Amino acid sequence: MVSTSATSSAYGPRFNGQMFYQYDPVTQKQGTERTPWVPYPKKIRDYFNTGQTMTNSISVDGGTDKTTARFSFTDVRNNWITPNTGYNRNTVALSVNSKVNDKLQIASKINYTNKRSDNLPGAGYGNQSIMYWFMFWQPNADLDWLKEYWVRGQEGRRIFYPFSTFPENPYAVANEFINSNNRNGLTGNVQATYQFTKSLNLLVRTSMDMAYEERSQKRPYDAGSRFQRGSFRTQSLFSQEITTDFLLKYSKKIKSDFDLSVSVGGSTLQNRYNRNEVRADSLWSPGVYTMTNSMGPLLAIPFNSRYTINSFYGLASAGYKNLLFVDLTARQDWNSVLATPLRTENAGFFYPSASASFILSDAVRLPSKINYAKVRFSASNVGSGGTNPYLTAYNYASAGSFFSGGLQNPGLLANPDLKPLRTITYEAGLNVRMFKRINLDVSVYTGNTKDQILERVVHRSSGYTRQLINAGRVTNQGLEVALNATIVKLSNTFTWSTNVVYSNNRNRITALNDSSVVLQAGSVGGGQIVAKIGGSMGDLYGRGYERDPEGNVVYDARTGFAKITQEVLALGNTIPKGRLGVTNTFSYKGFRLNVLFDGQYGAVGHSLTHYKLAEQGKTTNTLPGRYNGIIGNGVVLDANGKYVPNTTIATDIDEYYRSHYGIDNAEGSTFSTDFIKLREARLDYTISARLTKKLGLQKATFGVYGRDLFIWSAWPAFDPEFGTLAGTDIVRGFEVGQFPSTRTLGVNLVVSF
Amino acid sequence: MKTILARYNKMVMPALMIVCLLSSCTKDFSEINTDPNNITEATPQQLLAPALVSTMTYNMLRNRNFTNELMQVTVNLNDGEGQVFRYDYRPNLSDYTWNGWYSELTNFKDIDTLAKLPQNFNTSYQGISLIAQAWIYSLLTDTYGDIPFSQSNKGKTEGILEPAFDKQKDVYTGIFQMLEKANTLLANNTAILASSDPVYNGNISRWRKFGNSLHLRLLMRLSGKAEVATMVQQKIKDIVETNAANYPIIASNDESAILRWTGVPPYTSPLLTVREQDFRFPGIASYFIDNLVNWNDPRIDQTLGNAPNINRFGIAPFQGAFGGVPSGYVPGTTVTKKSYFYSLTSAFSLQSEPLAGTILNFAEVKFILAEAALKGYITSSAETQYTQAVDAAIKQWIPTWNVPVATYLQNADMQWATATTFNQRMERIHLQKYYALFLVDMQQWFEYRRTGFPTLPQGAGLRNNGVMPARMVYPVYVQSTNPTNYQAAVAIQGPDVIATRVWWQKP
Repeated sequence: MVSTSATSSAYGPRFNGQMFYQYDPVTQKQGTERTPWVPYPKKIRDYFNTGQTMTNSISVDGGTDKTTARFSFTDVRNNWITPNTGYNRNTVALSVNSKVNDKLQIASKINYTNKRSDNLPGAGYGNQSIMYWFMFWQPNADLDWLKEYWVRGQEGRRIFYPFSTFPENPYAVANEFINSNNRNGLTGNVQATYQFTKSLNLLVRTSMDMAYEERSQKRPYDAGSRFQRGSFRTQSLFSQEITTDFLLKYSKKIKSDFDLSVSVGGSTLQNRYNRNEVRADSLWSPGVYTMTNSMGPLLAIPFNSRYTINSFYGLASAGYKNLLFVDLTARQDWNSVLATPLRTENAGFFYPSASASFILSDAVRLPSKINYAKVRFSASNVGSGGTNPYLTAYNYASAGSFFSGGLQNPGLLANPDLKPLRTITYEAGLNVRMFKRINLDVSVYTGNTKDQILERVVHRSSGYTRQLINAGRVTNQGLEVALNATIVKLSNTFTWSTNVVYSNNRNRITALNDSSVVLQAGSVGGGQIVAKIGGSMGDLYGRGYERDPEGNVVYDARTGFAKITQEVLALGNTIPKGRLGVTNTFSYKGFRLNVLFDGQYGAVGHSLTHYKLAEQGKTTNTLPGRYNGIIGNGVVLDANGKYVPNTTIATDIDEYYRSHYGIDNAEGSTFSTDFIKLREARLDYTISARLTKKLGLQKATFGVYGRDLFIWSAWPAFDPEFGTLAGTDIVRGFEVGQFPSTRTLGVNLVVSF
Repeated sequence: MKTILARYNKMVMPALMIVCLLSSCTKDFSEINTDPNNITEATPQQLLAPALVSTMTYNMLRNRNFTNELMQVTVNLNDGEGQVFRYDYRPNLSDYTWNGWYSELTNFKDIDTLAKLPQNFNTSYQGISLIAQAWIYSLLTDTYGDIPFSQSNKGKTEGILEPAFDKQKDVYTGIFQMLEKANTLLANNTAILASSDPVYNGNISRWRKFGNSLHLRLLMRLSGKAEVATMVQQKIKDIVETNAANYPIIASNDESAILRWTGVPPYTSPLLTVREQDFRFPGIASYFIDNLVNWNDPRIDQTLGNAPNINRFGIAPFQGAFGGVPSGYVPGTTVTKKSYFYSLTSAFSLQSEPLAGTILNFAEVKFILAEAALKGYITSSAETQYTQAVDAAIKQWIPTWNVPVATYLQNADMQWATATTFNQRMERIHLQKYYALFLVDMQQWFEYRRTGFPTLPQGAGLRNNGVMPARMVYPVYVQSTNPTNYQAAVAIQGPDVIATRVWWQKP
């Protein structure tokens, strides 16, 4: 039997109550007496709590005939599912609308939000994260042993963890690894509309979105290799975006059949972001989180950025007899992120669009079952330069403030010829209402995007990690269907209506800078997202099973382990091909029941949670053959070079499952992300008008609801809908230590006075 | 329609054109999109120290968990996956040094480029850059085999994102040219900013000696390769004897190339990033400690260390004596960890040891000369070189050691014995050299692959057919980021596995 004493693996002997020398929580050491070898089933889930969110909001409307105002206040209090985490949020909103005189109208909205948290959970895959511990925790150990998380006699200095040195004690993480933040956000706008004549008006508006946020991270002594003497870091973040725009609109009815409206407008957007980080990554006294407690010099990391987007645009709409409508737009943008320190020519880009719709049912006689029919066509061109500044010039980065003036070359190769992304889309649509009960909207589109702005992973021997590119050309084709039907409608009492939304998309790469462009590199089995001509965006590649021509897995005739390819294989696409949502609504008198199912299909993802748990023998798919060996289902290459059925018994079961699910085999932990979810069910009861009136109310509704109630999916971790945050980008395709997904149950009370 | 379009054109387009003249809509854009956090201009002195520190970080961390494990300095007592000490390591081990070394080559090459600009012109920075490049390329090729060399690190300058791989022979030819050129450039002795140079504090003649000593190390590595043997053997003789005045080499411990970790940021030892309990975790291997015990070696003398009752190598005794773990044992075998390296919680630890930043030391040069003499490449006495080498190796660690080296060798039964066979004398050189190369990146491994010495015991649990792995595989992502050249390289060199021998390893 393989000893797993120094690992986090779970391939030990069967739990039969045998007597072994085991860990003794009383002495925090190996016990001196043998104790029964037993599992601690379902203990790990005790770490998690039932989260709670309490939302209270109040709003007041009122005004005179000239001025109206609305005020609202919201208070949200959340306790999250891991200990000592959660947040509070308060929002105050005010909007005022005033008609100063017949010509001038002024409106303003202001919204203040404060969101603060004493502690946010550490996520991802790393020793500061709870889910990392989750993957490494042993079935033969009691969670309660961890609750006393300091080594006795070394409180505040040494974190206690009985087994491997990889993960942190999760109770230490919850109570001592504190990530706090406090964000004050203010958004608001002021707008004035002046009506020159009946057909000409001018709108001028300024909006601002501003936030100030303070964050801090406290780490105790012994918090991993980087923070052996603790750490205290703070960040101050300031962000501001001011947009000023105007729109001059002329609309007129020409003769009696034509409606015409022409607008010209312009806007300027200015965005600013400042972040100042200070780090004390070694502390004199444990547990004292002030900058003066720093052992060495403080590390300061300032970062400032800004960008400006200026635009002019024109819109023209014409209508003929309410039968035919034509809209034309033209827009010119200038985006500073496309400029370089030496030139600004690339910064501007023009994009027009045209659309037309025709009310078929008014123009020709259609069968009487058809109440309404409209066809529409559009051709649009959209451009974008993105919002990431400073990627057009090669800049040296600081080597850290400890080197006085020390510099290093950047990892990202800048692109001085950066161009805006362009998307051209042609769309045709049909909207039909039939039998007075069915409303069907179908649209099909085809389009192509060229020069998408992406960071490509390059071979390090080029000298760089990534390169900013305008990536070739990608075509997209798709279908979108929305169907509303009232299935049952009994006079005044019961109705049942269904809403179906379906969409699919197929994308194909038709041109590329290179034969293969790597967009993401995962950490396991060479897993990576690669773009190739003829392939699709989001194609996943990685090392996988060696297979015979019939597709059977090839095993090593000597060891019985699955053989893994040296080269990378196509493992599927990470972007779902289609999505479907079905909502059924039933209402009976004051009751209303809403049930939403939705799902997606056609994509795969790589699960790091599965890889890590299966490699350590902690998933049920690693049970077969544990004590007697296993013959893998597949073939072996015989002495004559022929594939014959595998008969080798693999006895090193740890290594056998590692060949299937271990770090070299990306395919083994790649799964379909298809799912069906019971996304929401809610039942509301609205008190009858008569009773409401008696109580002196305008409206009163009481309801219960549940969200994300069930998931049907082959996905091995928690939720096939995952996005992993890498910097500011959401990485698709690689699940990296996701938290358990949560099921929400709630009650809802709305009272209007 | 026509009228609408006409109106549209008449009204919208001129409005767009007139209201915004191009220049005003992009006013200040160049300034707005100029990065206020970073800088477009750099000087050689700003790049040198960070690049040296980063390179040493990769070297030292891999020395600890790769070289030490393969070469039986330590045993990571673990029966889990891919244990290096069992000649079993996973492809994902390859990325760290590959990515790190190539990244620093960008910085070192840039130093050369910048030092050629009129405003920064400095032949010493050019020479130092070439030495650093030669050093890193040699680490790369000795670790991986054929590598991108002539086309590498040209992503910015020439737009090459998928560099071709060069054969190891061509890489070595290029490295030798760099070292020749560096020797010429550094002969000018142009001053550099002392604080930009954490290795020699601006002493250019020492850089020159380091460059030539590196030249010797790499010539010796090819000395057994038939197709180049004559050329490299002659060159060794040229450097050491015929043309010695033009090729100064490291001649004392003071001149050793060492990035000494002072403990003052940024010069804090990369080993301090290892958690102290992790630093103590691997057991010392029997092979490493038993020799030192048998020799009664001063480097593990409890009275000769830098802290009371702790030896100079920072090795903890076990129950009053030093003991090790046999390497390569079969998984599941019960082994008892004995000695281990003290961590920073003790009064002394290698975690903060300045000498852990050794790049190339005087003792290594002397051992090279001893081998060259033994093999007849040079005329000096192998015995003298060997004896001086051992003396230097010990005194690097304990400068005050006052035992005559001959006495030490006699007592240890490690004295030069002319009566022994060639292989016995090679073994003797390389056994002592093994301790001189302790903590020096992957040199122990490279030398073992070249010579087969020192003779390491082989545990029954070894994988890779019990043969010392010959290389690391290329990082897996290279297959997609550089597919054509990767396939061409594999076709020439052989399968991309750890057993495939590199060019100089084949006869």
